[in-house]
Amino acid sequence: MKELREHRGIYGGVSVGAILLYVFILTRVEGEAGALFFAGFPVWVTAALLPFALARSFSGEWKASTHYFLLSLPVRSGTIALAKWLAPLTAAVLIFSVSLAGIDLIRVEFEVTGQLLEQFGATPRAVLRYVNTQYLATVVLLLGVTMAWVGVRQTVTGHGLVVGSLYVILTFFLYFQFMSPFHHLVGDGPSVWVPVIYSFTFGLAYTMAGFILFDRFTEI
Amino acid sequence: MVEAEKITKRYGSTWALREVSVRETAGRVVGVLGQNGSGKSTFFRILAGLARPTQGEALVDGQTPSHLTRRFTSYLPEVDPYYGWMTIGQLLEFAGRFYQGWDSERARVLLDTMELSEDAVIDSLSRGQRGRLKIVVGFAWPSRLVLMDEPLSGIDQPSRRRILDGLFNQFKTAEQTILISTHLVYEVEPFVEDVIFFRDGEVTLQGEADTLKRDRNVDLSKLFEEVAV
Repeated sequence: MKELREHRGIYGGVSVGAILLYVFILTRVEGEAGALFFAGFPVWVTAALLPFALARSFSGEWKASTHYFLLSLPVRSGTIALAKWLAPLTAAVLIFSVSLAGIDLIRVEFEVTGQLLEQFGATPRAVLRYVNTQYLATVVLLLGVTMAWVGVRQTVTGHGLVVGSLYVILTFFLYFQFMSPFHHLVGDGPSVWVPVIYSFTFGLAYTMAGFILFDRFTEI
Repeated sequence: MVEAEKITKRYGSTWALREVSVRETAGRVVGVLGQNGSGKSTFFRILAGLARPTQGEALVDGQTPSHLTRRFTSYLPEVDPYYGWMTIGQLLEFAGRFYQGWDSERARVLLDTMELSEDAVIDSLSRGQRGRLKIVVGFAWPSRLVLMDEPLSGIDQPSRRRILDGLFNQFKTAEQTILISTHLVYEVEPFVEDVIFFRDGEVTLQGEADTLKRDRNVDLSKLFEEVAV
């Protein structure tokens, strides 16, 4: 609660902004192209913002010296990291839920898109639901990458540029390296849901790594 | 209560502590005396489980310092560690959720003693008031070990003696061990039972304050100049 309260500006702003945009879509947008664009816009904007908010919630503690208080509490450092990670995730889940509910409320008739997708056995609303779930998976992935980065910075101090560059390269490498084996592991046939599940799994694995590093190596 | 066996702490090529060995029994008031940068704060952070020694071993009540020992350790850092957006009341409520035996009534008495209001926003407090707030948070629950790192910094001189008097005569419990670090030796001299002098990351002298003063026929301030400057 402290995390949500302290960073209510960013988490609240992102959530309220996204929800207002959905209300706008539901009540004002009439064209199907506009509806499709707006339906995806808030979720992807927040996907880009929330990892920054998470990184900022850690750097803010160090900047204001409040980490002295936080880390001296009788809880594991990993628990503190978990609480910080849960705050942007809560905002993401809220936006995802509103977005998902909004899909069925959109009054626009998807005539052109509907005919096009019909050939592939899909409907516009099914595609929107898929896009929204992909959004949540991407947020989990990006939050995980951010969390692991926080853990790495507690483990390796100094040489920020070198460590940062190596981290980005390694993350990309690992993400694409495990994608194919994961696909085989989950199922034989091609499924559009595999990348979504993979993003969730990879993100959670990185999150766990971040928690462990933060718990093990955080010092003042 | 507190044991350190040849603890060393290095930050890169800088030595913060070199082979520091200390042993303090429960219930003592210990003055950790040394100039700025002498290693006192690093020593406290290790005891609070917020830093790990590069070599050697530190024990608090027989355990390696961690979140488990923080259940009975109050750590009052030198910096202002509290959230500026909170009111004092909100801070006490937040802190109280973490510490077993948190005593709200005792916190109110401490607030009165320290002349602080629950409604005040922390950002609006002066440096001295923030220093006094740390003492309220540190003593509002029955901790067994209190680590006070330069608790008097920022507090005006007339208030300092009054605050220390209140702390040691009114709020300290018999089983509580207090380690208080300062370079204002004369202000803690009436209260400390043991002293540990630090210089350049090393312990230069330690023992019972009265014995050291009697053996060397000097007061603690003079002793500080001899072994810690």
